Amino acid sequence: MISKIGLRNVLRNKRRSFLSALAIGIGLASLIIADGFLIGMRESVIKIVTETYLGHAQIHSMGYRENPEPENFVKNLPEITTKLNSLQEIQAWATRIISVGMIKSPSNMQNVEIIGIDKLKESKISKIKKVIVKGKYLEHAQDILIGRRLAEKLDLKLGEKIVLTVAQVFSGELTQELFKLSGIFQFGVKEQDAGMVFILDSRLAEMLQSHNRVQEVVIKLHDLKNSESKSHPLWRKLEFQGNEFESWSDLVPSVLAVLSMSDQSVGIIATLLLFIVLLGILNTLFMSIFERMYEFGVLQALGTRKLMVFKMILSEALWLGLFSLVIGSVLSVLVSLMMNINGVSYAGIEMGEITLTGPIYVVMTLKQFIYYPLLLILFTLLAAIYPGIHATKITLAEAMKKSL
Amino acid sequence: MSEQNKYLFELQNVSKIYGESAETKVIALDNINLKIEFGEFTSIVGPSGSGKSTLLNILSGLDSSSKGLVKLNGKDLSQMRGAELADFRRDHIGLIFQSYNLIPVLTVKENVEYVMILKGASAAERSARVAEVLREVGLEGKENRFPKELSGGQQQRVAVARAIATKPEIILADEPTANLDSKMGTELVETMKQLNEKYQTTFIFSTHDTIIMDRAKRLVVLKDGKIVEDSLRRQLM
Repeated sequence: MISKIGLRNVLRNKRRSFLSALAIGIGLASLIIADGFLIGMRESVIKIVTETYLGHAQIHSMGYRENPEPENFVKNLPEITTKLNSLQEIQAWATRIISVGMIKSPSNMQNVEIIGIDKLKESKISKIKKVIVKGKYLEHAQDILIGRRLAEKLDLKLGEKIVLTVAQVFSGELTQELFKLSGIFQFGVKEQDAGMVFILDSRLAEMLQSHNRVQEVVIKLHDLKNSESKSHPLWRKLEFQGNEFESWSDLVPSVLAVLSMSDQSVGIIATLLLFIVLLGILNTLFMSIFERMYEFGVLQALGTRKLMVFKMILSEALWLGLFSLVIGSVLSVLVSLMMNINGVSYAGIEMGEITLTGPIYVVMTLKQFIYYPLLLILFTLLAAIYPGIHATKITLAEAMKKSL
Repeated sequence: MSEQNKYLFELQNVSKIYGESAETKVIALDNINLKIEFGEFTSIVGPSGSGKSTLLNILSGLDSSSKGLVKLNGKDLSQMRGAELADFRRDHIGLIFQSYNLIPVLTVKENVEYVMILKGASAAERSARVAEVLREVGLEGKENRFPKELSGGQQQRVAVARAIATKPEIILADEPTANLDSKMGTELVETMKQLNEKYQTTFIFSTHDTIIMDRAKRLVVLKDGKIVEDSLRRQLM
């Protein structure tokens, strides 16, 4: 009976209830869309970070990242590669030889990070082959790829000659080799586009006299989530003695921090929106209750306990919340679908060290349609407490002055 | 019945004073002494502002007296609070209001069974009793109508049905015929008279209506908050 009275009271003034439910529903939809958009942004950033160059995880010699000297080679490389080939979680892997050196064009020179890659394996891990904006991928031993910003700085054009200078790993003697600019890439990450060059690993190994040893093993997993938790068995399988297995989030903690801030911003948006929703419900219920003080007097005069009157108000709020929930959920799906037709373009916007490259899409999850509606219902009930108490505090003789 | 419970209502030196300062002070009831026995059909009459509604409010526990003792069936109403008072009203008193005061979102049937639900009656009990009381007040076939779909007289009959549904000892009615034409008013009073005789339910009315006064077994006349006349079976015409 309480629920029935609550529902019918909501339906009593259909226009007011609809407008209130619409306002609350818009609040809910905004919350779901904001959350979905931030998830989309998060996924987009992680995709850019991991698929551009970093990979999902990397293996280095212990301490390499703190002290990236060329002689800090990955240990037990044959065992590792055998293991990587046997693990089902691994989609692809590649090794990299890394050194710092100097690049010299006819007009300028600069320190750069030189990456020696296996051209086939690397193309399955990073986007280097796909982000070449001019020229072509590595084919010959003298080919070199450089970033767009670096090409501009060195005033280089395709086919022009470049000299790379590196120090040999063990002797420290300087080695110079001549290369020909075969391609210009653009990852969209400032640091990489201005300070990295790619050559074939065999050529760099030869220059460094490093004898087929590498500084980095890059891994791409079938499921990115497997790299996120250090408790995942994959960690134990790949942490060979003397090496470190690190996920993308360990490698670029600044990106993780930016994403964490995004999560916090969802929390702030959620709190603000729910507060607005709370005020909306409070206002609607008070309007409705003030009109019916006489009725609450009648109900109590008939022997209805105050607690039951309070429950009736809660029930009314619950029904209003449920209608708002349906409106909000439908709105959020419709708006998200509309936004996802072309996505929201954030191309060129920098976020931390990352430059967003493509449109961001709203990601809808089941959690959004369970967690936020539940939160809405909870806030609706909380908002009803004060009006509910108010309705039970009336003096019966005063409330019913028109009659008994 | 013990000597103490001979009377359904017993009011001793009851006063109701509104306002605290000398300027705003209004004495609505002034030292009222009144005893009402079980099964009475009593009318409280008097001009506007004489204290009729205040007296009914105090008898029903909707308001409390400023001074004096109000006993219902031997129990002191002034000692009851909150849920106890609500339960007491639910179990012992039926109320009929001048403007009907049905719950607008409930149908005729639901309005009548509402008080039975409060009392914890089963669905079967409710169904049988609702059918019975609606038949008694002449509203068969109107069970699923909402109050706004009924005439004033029909709404007041629903209010009567609601008041008697739980078979309370007392029905308190404030100007029940005030909003009805004389034909409807007469029919309603006849219905209530029959219920009074059939169930020995005590009816106490405040009224200006001579139809009720004619049929009342007892008339209590109030003026300026005082009882100026209390007579049995008096015909005022």
